Amino acid sequence: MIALTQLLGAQTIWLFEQFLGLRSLFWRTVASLLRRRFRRSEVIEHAYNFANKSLLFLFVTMGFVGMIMVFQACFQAQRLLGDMTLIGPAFLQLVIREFAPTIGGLMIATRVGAGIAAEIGSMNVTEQIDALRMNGADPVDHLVAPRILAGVVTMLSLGIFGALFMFLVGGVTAKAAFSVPYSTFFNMGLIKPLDVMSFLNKCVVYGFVIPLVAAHAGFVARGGSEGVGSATTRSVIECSLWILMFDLGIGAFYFILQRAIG
Amino acid sequence: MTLAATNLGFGFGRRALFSRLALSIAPGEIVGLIGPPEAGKSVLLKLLSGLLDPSAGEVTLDGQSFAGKSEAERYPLRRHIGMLFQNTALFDSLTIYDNVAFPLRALVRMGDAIDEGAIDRRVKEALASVGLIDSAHQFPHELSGGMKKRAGLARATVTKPRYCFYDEPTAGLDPVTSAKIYALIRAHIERDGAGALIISNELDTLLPACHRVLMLYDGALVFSGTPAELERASHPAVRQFATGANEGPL
Repeated sequence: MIALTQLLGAQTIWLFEQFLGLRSLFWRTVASLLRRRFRRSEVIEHAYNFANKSLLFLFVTMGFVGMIMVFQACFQAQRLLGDMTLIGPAFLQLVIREFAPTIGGLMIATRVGAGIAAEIGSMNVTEQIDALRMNGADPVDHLVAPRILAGVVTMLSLGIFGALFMFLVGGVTAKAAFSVPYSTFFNMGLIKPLDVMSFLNKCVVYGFVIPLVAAHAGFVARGGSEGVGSATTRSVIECSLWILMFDLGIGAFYFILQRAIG
Repeated sequence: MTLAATNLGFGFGRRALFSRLALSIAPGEIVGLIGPPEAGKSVLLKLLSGLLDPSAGEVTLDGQSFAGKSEAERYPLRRHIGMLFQNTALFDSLTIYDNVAFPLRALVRMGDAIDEGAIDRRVKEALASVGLIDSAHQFPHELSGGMKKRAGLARATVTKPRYCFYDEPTAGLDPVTSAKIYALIRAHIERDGAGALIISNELDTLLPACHRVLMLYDGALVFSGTPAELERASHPAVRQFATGANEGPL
């Protein structure tokens, strides 16, 4: 019993310390962004790498999820209602509110977040971060701030392209499997400005959170290659958890706002 | 300009690595730091360069302490210290030329008036001094271990720092390359009048290069003396370490 209590206590202290570390990195990053001490060329280079190399992976994932969701929705609608006129607009609303930013975010966390954690973790265990500090270069300015800006740009652009592709694939699936006309499916009647704001808000937040959490995982990596591996795993898990928490928080905020506006 | 540590303490969590350490290095002095694995030699180097904060005591350079200073405020002190890291810590994404130019460009960012022509000249001088001028545009992963160490040396000394720390400069190198590395270190010290702290357990090559040797063991500096005094040391751990005997506390 004492051992269990000690274990729980140690885990709680560890979690708290990690949270404080992440919070500290967040404020240092905000300060770095405000000071604009990063190089623009690095932002462009990272954005190109993040977005370009994730595009196919994201499209394949979004395409399959779109196909499955629309197929299941049409199947249930046909069986229970016999009417599929609202499938397209409702699906688009779901894509904009949830699927595109959140599934996209989870995919970016896997593809980009893991890469950032591995890169910074590797620099950490090989003392390259200490070498940066010895040479008067703030690791946050050099490693975190450019990746965060690139993350926001990537998340926004891939979120938009991902949403469009998912909707398109959904429309093709509905037409091919259930003969839903394109003119019925591709209908944006249910989309409200707050849905678009929620989408943009989620993309920006995830684009900031993924590189931040991944960089933090890299900075706390210890040991050799094993430490880098742990940092990568940890980054994917923590990014996913943060994305889901923010998804709930932002979703609830816009739901309440929608209700208040009427 | 003297580098000094007083009452230095450090630990990981509840485990104290050492306490009440005191040492100083004078300009032009080469000090060797020896000790068994996990004694905290590399940690001591990081404390002396302000990369880690001690739990007690302070490190001063020319009377100015690292304590209580932010990362940006530490750089005016740190710029006087060059460091060759244990595994060289060359930046993977930069060529050898850009790695060696990095500390000079940092000085420019901090307001020093060094133009790109002067940077180019100093980088080429540093690379030529370590025999790597032909490898300037290669990346670290394209170099051998000895070449990486020499590139690390060039980066550590390109700004002509007042102090230079060398963490295991010859670990894993053959005897000929080790001798060359020590010759480069001595040349730098003689040329710039810098003070040096060298961590190494390869006594055959370390001792001839040093003016003074320190041994870190069991959380304390148990020996401080000339290389000749090392084998005559009264502390059993020091004597065992110096002679390489099987019997003893180590």
